[in-house]
Amino acid sequence: MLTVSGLCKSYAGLAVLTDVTFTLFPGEAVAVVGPNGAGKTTLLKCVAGLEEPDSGLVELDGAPLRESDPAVRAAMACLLDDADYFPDLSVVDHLTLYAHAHGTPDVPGTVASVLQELDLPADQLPVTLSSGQRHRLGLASCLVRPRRLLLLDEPEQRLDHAGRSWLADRLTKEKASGTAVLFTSHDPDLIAAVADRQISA
Amino acid sequence: MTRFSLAALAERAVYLVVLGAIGAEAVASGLSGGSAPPIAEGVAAALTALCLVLLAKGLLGFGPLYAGAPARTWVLSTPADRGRLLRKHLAGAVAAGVGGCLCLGFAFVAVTRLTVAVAPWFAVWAAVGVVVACACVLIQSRYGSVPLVQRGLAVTAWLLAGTAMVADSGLDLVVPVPVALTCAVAAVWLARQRLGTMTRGRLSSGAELATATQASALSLDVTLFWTIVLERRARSLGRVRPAAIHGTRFTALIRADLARIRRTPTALLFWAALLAVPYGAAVTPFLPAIHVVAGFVAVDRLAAGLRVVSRAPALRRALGGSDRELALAHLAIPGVGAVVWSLVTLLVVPGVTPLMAAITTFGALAVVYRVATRPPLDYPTPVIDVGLFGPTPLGLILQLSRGPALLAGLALVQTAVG
Repeated sequence: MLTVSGLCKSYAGLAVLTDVTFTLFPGEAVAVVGPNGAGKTTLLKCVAGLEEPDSGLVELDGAPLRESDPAVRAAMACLLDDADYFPDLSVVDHLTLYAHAHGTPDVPGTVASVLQELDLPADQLPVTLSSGQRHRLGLASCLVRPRRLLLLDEPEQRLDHAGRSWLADRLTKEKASGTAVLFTSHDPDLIAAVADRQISA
Repeated sequence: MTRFSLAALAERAVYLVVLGAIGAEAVASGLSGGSAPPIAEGVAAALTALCLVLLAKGLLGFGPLYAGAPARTWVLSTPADRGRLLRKHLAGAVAAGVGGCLCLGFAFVAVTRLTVAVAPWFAVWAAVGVVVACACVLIQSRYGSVPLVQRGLAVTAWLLAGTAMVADSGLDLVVPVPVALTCAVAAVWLARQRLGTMTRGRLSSGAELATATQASALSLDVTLFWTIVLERRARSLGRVRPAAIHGTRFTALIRADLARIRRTPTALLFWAALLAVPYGAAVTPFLPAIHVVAGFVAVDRLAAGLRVVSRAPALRRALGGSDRELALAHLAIPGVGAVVWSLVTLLVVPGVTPLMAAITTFGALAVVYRVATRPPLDYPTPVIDVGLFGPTPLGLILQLSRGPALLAGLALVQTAVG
């Protein structure tokens, strides 16, 4: 499904990614691990098309991945460090809009279920949410729409213990439903519970 | 000083003289009257009062007294005399109030062709500016009173906008100069008394907006300013009822954009209030240019959704579809706003022709789109010297070509065909 081959990226002569190559299959989860500054987020950004690699290729379903391609946007749900929101749309408005925009069947039911699952205040505007709640909204925006590939940058961040358990369970279910998951993490428990393979950045 | 520097100074002096002469001519023309019929005094009075309310809202938005993060951290945390430290800030707020009110006084005379004694007239308006600025400082110094006053001012603004539609005769309100000046002095004294009681929290309320305004002015990019304005509005709203978002992908995007407009009635108020600008300018020869500029500003108030979605790649990824489709969906409401705004001015304002209305409709929408979707300023670009302002970065010229310069070009076209 997702093929990354020979990916290289450097900033001002400092190599961050060197010849990264891997393949991600449907229903599989791959964890990108490594210390801070190793290039985990850069790898995810290159895969998502936010960063242009110096060399190498990222392909989705056999075609070069172009971030602005509607087909890519329909297949790929991302939670990276550039998450953004409409300041004047509430939590439930965001989720409803995303669901309609991606043609989710049974929008009210799906939105209500995700809201309950993530314990989000439906009527609040994003600017009034805590950083943890905002992170949950980012996760919710990925889960409220159809997806075949999940890209998550340290999804366990800002989640409490119960939240991390829920996340492990949810990602396991995502795999079971055929969704491919590529995520970075510093949480060994989450990696052990979800990842089928690990890549060192 | 080198010969080159002297030549550059002389060149800029010429530009200043030319621009100054144009400005002086415009002021003289406004005060002396022209051949076109004046605006009814009642309408002008209601619109002037509306602008006064908006000025007060603007001052309260900035504080009006504010201290940036360095001053808050390194100066206000010390036992230094806070009242003394804030005197310059008070003077700045008063200057802003006086400047705004002098402009209002001039505009009133210009559009009504009222014959006034210039010195007393502007003295009274300056005094009004002082009183408004000092009243805002007093409101800022009282805990929890700013949001309440802001809401009251918003309601008053709507009422005044409604009054402007129906008013025909004005009030014969005469304020003697000594009374006005006495009120101004008293207001300054009261405001100075309260300077020492300003907490760091109250002084930081407008700092974010002030910093964003400075950054936007320096970079000639209003995006940062409007982002902060939107966030402040959202913070003051806190919770909202769910919007009626349903239908196909495209209609859901439009319904969400509509919900945003409904939740920020001030944007709609500005859009409506700007209808008065070409009405007021109907007596001047600048109507075509003013029509298109006011049209742009009005339509831009409805394009918050377009601005947000254009600047946020993460939102575009989350919403799916192509960038073009997302831009089109978020242009629907501004498009309707442009058509209705131009149509109303065509029906109400004497001198507006169908061609002028059509140019404003499409031109304003095009400029709104170009401004909203322009990339951030690219600093490391070559510098070229076009003569007028000395060496200028190419990136800045490109940035201007997607905003003010485009609008200026459109105003020239409008003037040529108008």
